[in-house]
Amino acid sequence: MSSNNFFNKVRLLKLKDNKLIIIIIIAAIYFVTIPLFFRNSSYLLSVIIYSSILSCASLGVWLTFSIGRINIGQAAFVGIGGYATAILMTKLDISFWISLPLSGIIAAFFSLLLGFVLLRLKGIYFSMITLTLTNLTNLVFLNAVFITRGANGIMNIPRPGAVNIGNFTIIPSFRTDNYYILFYYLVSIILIVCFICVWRLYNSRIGWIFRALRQSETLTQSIGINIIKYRIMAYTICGFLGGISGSLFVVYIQNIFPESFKVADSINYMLYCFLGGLDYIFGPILGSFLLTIFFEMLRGIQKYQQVIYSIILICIMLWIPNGIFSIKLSKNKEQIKNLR
Amino acid sequence: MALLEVRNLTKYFGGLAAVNNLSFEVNEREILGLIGPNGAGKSTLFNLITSYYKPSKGIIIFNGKNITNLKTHQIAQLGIVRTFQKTNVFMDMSVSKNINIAHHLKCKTSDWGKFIFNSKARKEEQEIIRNTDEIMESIGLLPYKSEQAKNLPHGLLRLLEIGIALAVEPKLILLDEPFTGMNPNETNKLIETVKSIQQKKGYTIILVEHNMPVVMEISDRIIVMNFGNKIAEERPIEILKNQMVIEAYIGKDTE
Amino acid sequence: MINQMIINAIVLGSTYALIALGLTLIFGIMKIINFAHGQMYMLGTFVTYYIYNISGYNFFIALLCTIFVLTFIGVVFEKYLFHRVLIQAKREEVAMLLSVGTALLIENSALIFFGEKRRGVKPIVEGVYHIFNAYIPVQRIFIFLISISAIVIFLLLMQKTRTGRALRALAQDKEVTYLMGVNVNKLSMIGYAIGASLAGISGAILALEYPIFAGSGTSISIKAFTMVMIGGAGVIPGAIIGGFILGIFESFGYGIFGGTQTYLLIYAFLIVFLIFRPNGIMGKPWG
Repeated sequence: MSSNNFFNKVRLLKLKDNKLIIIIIIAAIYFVTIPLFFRNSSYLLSVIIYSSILSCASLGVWLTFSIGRINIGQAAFVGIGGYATAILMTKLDISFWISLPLSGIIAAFFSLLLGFVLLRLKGIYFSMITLTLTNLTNLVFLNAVFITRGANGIMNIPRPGAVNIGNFTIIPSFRTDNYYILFYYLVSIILIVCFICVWRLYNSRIGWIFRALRQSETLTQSIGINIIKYRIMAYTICGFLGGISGSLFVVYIQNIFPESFKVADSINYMLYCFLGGLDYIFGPILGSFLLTIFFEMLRGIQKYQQVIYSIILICIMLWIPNGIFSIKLSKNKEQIKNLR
Repeated sequence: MALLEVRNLTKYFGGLAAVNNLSFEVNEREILGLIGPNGAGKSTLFNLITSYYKPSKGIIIFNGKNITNLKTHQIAQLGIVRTFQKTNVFMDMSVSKNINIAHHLKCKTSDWGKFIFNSKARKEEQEIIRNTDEIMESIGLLPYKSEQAKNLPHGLLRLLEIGIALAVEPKLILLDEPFTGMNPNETNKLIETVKSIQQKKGYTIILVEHNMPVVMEISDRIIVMNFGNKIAEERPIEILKNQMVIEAYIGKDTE
Repeated sequence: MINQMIINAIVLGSTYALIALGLTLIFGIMKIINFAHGQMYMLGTFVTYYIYNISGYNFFIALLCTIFVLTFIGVVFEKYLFHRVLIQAKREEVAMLLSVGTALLIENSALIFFGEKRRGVKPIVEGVYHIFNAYIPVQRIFIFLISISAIVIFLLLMQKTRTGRALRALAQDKEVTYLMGVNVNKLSMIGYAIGASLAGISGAILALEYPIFAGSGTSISIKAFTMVMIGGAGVIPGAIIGGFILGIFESFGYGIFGGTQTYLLIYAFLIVFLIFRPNGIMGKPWG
């Protein structure tokens, strides 16, 4: 009898939520299979780590896309988060596990302040000013020598330490030889948590307000929604994700310079969103992974890497301008139409 | 006390007064028609009342409160909602979603509560879904509830706009030329709808419209504007006899 | 000292205005930001380098070649890339991303062809004048004269010729222009080519004064955006004003504060400025 119930429950699950099965499979791959087989391939792990950290930043940019803004300034907040962690850890000896959320909050704080000004601009004006934002932060980092050490940058940033409660180790120290696998778990968990939060936000009433903002700000206002508040909310969360991303970067590559996160990076985060498809929350993650892997594959012809990249970008814009996810979806629609 | 009072309202664009020293009142449960030739300043007036424009002079008082300097969404919270001259709905959403979103002001859950979808949020959502169905039913859009707004014909879009306004449960609705481009069938349907929302729900309505027979039929009172000024304010039957109104529309007899 | 900075400001401003004009024209008629604007400037510098410096031809021939090359690229980009995308794309951001792609393409191709080496171009004319208590190299006067001539020719083109009027109409209202029987497609091509050429001409001119390298595009693009943000997008007088304002800020900034801090202050000023005038001095509100 109990086994019957069990299978009924599974069937109900399947009927109700196919996605749940997919999620479980992905989680299994992520947390069991990959570490099992690739534990020793630091190269593959580093590609995944790198892509995951980029995905966090891109996820933030995606959120600003969802309110209808093209944000080409995310690298500024990645930089702020990075420098925050670097300074907190090297100068103030604060543990990474506190620096990480703190960096996110510091970056969010700046995006909150800047949001009040920048979000008043619409369309291309907004995009252009976000572009100069990255340059601005680069220059600030370069000139604020007393806290950032200017052009010398901050080096030898320690890797995360262990977290112990009494004699029990909750999180092992990263300062060992197999830190790749540890980083892998760290960034994967953070990415998944960020993804779930953004997913939850976008599917809540707030997410629908974001969609409304993108489609018609005038209408959104007239039904009583405080558009300034929600614009800034989206932008601040974007900044927070950028800060987290920067913090993770900095503790992974263990240094930071004023030019570590520049205009090209801002453009990249935006590109990843596009490639994956702007209508899908998973888009920026897919885009980050695909392009990073693609770039690695081109490593042999390093000289031509960027040119091929730009040619592919142009081709994508010409032929699948709505991102990769949209091809699948339109095929399904065709099939359904033909069935009728 | 009048529900809405506009006093000496003036709006300059450059040197031109789009609205010039305009004063009038609207009483509760009234349907006020607002007519005038193109460029008379009717839409500008709506923009001023709902704070899309800031007046150069004058004040607007709603329910005894001076709302002149409030922001658009605050004015909506106080109970004024408008439709637009050019159809304005959320094109990439379904009909039901359009109306659902407009229930924002009825939703008392905090943003955090909405995010985690706590029990209060869940209860309110059910309530909103029910209310959305009711509204769609009352304006005849229920068969189209899952249809994407961008696929709807013009007449239904105009209805949807009104549905969105109804969801806000305002005290005063400003309708900006809702009958434009409608065929006689749609027009009759909309007249019914407008009348019923006034009677059943007790809403006050200001209606800007060019369709004269409709305005005559629906309005309790009519204000006529020309070049930003109010040139007449009477009951529908009287308006037809008003010399200035006729001149405004047809022009002076040059003899 | 101040006189020196004023003179520099005027010369720099005139060339910057040329860059801003090109960008604002493209934005005006196609409603997209030409991300590759700086890269087109860079191409201008290289064409001048090879034709004037290496091959020894007359500078004006190099200038003509620059116009020719940039016009060609402008036409090709518009016809085969932007035109297609502007028709099909579901979201308006796609054209912008395409623009980013073109910028990356030009810059990275240039890096492959020309390498990363910085080059210089021999001066076109020697000598320095000493007037108003300031030193003005004759070359700067030459640069100034060419910039101003180019601006004047452009303005005359826009005001007096049929094409110019059509371009201005297109910027105001695409649909009406189309309905009046104008070949909007061809016009977009011409407009984009003109915009690209203006960038190229500025490159050719400033190649005389500044080092030439394949990566010079990005910073010029950002300067161009800054100018357009200050002056207002899509509006011709705005571009000229923006260009001169940036020229003034840069000259005085470098004179008073020195290198890295100048642009820091300029960006900070820009953000504060945009609080009060979000659409620039003369720009129209977006959307």
